[in-house]
Amino acid sequence: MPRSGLSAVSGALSQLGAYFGPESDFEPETSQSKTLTAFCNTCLRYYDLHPATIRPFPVNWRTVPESEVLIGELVRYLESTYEGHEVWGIQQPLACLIWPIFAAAFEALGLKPKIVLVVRHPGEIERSLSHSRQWALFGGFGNSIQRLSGVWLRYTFGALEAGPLTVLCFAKFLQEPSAHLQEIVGKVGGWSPTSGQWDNSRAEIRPGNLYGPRENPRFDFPSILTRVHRSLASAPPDLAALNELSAQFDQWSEMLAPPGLSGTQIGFAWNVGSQVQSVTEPFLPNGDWQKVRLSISAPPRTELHGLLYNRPCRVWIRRSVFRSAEAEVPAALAPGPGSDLFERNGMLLLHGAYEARQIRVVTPPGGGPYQLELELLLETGREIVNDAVKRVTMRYHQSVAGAR
Amino acid sequence: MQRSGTSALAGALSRLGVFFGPEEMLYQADANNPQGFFEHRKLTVLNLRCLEAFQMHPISYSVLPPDWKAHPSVGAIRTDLRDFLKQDFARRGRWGLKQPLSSLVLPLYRDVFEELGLMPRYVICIRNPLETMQSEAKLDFGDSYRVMASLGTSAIGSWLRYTLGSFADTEGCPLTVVEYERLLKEPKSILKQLVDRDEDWQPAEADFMAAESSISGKLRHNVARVSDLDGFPPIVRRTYESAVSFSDQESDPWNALLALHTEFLGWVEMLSDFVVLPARLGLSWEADGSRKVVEVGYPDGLGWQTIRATVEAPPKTLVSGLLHPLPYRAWIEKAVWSAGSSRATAVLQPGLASVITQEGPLLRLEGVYEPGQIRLTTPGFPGPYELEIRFLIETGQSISASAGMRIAALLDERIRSSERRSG
Repeated sequence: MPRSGLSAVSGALSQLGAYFGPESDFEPETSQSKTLTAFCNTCLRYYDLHPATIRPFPVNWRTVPESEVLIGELVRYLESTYEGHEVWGIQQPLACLIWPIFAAAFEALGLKPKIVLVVRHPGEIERSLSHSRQWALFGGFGNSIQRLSGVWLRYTFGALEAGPLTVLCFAKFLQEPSAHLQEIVGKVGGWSPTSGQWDNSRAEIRPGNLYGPRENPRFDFPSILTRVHRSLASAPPDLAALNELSAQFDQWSEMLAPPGLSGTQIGFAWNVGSQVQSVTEPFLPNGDWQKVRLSISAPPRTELHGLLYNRPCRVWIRRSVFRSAEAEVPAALAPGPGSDLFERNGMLLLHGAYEARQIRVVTPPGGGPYQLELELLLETGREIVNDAVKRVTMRYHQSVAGAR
Repeated sequence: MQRSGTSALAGALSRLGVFFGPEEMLYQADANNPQGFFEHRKLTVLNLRCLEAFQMHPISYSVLPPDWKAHPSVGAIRTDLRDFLKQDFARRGRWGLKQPLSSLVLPLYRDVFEELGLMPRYVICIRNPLETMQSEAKLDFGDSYRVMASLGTSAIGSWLRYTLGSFADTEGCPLTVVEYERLLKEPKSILKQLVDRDEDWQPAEADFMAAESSISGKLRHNVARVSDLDGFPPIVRRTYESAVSFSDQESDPWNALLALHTEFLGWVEMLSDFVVLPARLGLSWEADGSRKVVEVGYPDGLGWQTIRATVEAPPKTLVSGLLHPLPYRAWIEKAVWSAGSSRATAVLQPGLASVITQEGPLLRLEGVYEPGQIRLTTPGFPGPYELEIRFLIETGQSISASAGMRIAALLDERIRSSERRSG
C-alpha cells in the first residue's frame, strides 16, 4: 500500500544497483514510474476499480478482450524499459490490486520475479498519507477506520496472491536495514553489490522524516486487521494464519458483494409504413460471452433500431449476422447518436448510451424473415455509466451549438 | 427477509382476521407463492421510493444514515406513508403490513407509527439462510425475464442485513420471532402464541383451522442443517441460533443480537466500495479582459453543508460554476450573495444538460459535468461578494444512470427533429 515505506526500500535497492527505470519518469521522491502508475490507473478504470478500492479483481477478467490488450501493453513496457539491465525492479503499490495482469505479463516474458511486500501499520500509513498529496485520492478514507482497514487488507491480501514473497516489516527494516537488504539481495542471486554501494544504501534510509501512528487513535482497529498485521510482523510470517484470515476476508467479500447485473430485454424496432413493429428477447448478462437470437420479420433493407441494455454499457460484439432461408450475411452495426462503435482487438466494441437507438442495423436485400444473431459480452459499472454521461452531454452541447 | 415464510404467515394471519389491504391492491398469487403474497402494492412503491432516495438496493447491506430525517425526500415519503396508513387501514380493527423491504427502512416506519400514536407488534420470520438462498435461486419468473441473477452467497449477506437490522430497529418494541421450520411443523402453536399476545383477539375455531391448514399443506422444499452454516463466517450461525432462541422465549438474546449487528455493520463499512473525488465549487467570470477563477473545496457526501466563496467580480457579472465533477443530485436550501450589510438571493440557472426544479422550499439541481453547469449573476450593489450556498449533494450509479438517460433522450429528440426537418 502507498506510504508503507516502499520508496525507502526501493531507494536503498537502487543504491545497491537495481535499476528502477529512468529517473525522469519517477514520481517525486520515489522510484515509482509515472508511466506504470498511469498504466495501473488505466487498468483500474477498465475493471471499474480505483486506488482506494476494496473490491476484488474480477474473476472473469481473462474473458474480457481488453485484458489481452493490457497484458500486451505491460509486456512492451517491461521490455522497452528494462532490456539490458541484469537486476531491475518495479515499485508499484497499485500492482497489489491488479496482480493477475502483472503475473500474466511476467509469464509471457518467462520471468520469475522476486516479490517484496513492505508492511507498515495502517495507523502509520494513515498519518503519513494525510500529509501527502495522495490523501485526496483516498478520500481521507471517508474519515473511517473501517474503510482504512478494508483498503489496507485489500492491498495486503492482493500482494499475498503473488505467491512466495519476502515480507519486510517496515519498522524492523528501519532498525536493521542491511540485514533485510542482504536477505533480498541473497534471494535474487548473482547480485553482488560493492561495499560502496552498501554504504550508500544505508545512507539512503532516513527514518527521521517518517510519521508514526496517531498518538491517540480514535477507534480500535478491527480484529482481522490486527491479526493480519501480527501474522505478517512475526518472523517468519505466520502463513497458515494469513491463509485463514485471507479466506475469511474473501468470504465476507463474497457475502457482501454488490448485486449482479440486472436482467433486461434486448429489443429491436422498425417502421413499416406508419406502424412501429418490434421484437424483444430476455437477456441476463453473466459476464461471459452470450449468444442472442431475434426473429425479425421486417422487409428487406429496413433500418432496425436496437437497445442492448437498460443502462449505459460497454459491449464487445464478436459476431453479428442475419440468417434467412437463403443465406447468412454479416449484419453491419452502427452506433446511435449518444453511442460509439469501433473495432478493437479484432472485434466490435460498443460504448452504449441508454438511448432508444443505441445500435442500428439494416436488414439484408434478400427476402426474410431473418434471424439476427449477436454474440456479445456486456459490461457495465460506475466508470462506464459516468463516461456515457460525459459523452452524451458533450454530444448534446455539440448538437445545440451546431444548430445555432 | 424474502423467502422466509412471511407470505405463509401473513396468509394464515389473514384467515385469523388480520387485514393486509383490499384484495385488488395485493400482489396476485404466482408459482412462487401460490396462496398469495399479502403485500400491498402501495407499500412496495413507498419502500422502493425510500430506497431510491437513499440510493439503497433491495440487496444493499447499508442502513439509513444517522441523519436520515434531514434528507429532503423524507418529508414527502413520510406524508405518503401516513396518508396510506390512514386511508387504507383506519377503521380496520386488526391490520398488518407485510413487505420484507420494510426491514431496510424500519426507522422511518417507527417514526410514522409514533406520530400516529400506533403501537405495532412486530413479527420477524427466521429461516435458515441457506434455505432462503436456495429458495431465491429457484424463483420461478414464469413468462417474464429474470430481473437479476441468482444472488448466490450474497443472499447470506443480505439475510444478515435483513435479520440483524430488523432486531436492531425494533429494540424495545413488542416483538415475536417466528421460526420457519417450527411454523411448518406446528402452525397452530405458533399462531396461538401470536393471537394470545392480544387478549381482544379471539378468532373462531373455524378460522384457526383454516389458518392452520393454509400452512400445514406447505412443503419445505429446501432443507438445510444448522451445521451447514459452518461453511460461512461464524456470525451467520450465531445470528441464526440467537434469533431462533428468541423464538423459543427461553433466553434473552438481545445483547448477543445487537453485538452481532455491530460486528456486521463494521464489516459492511470495511467492505463498502467508496469513491470520494475531490469535491469543489469552481466559479469563473470574465473581468478586465481575462478569465477569473475561484475554487472552494468541501467534504463530499457528508450531509448538509455550507460553503462560502469570495467573488471579486463587478456588479451584474455572469458567473459560471461547477459544483461536482460527477453527475449528482443536489438539494439547495440557500444561495445568497452578500457584501458588507447588503444581501441578495443568488438566482441559480442550470447549464444546458443540467436541471433545476423547485421542490417545496428547496432547489433540486441535477447536475452533469458541463461548461456552465450552474450560472448566476452578481447583484447590483458593489462587491467584492461572498457567495454562500447551503446544500446537500448526492452521487451514485443510479443518479448517473438517470442523468445519462435524461440527456440521451434530449439528444435523441434533437436528432429526430433535425431528421424531420431534413425530410
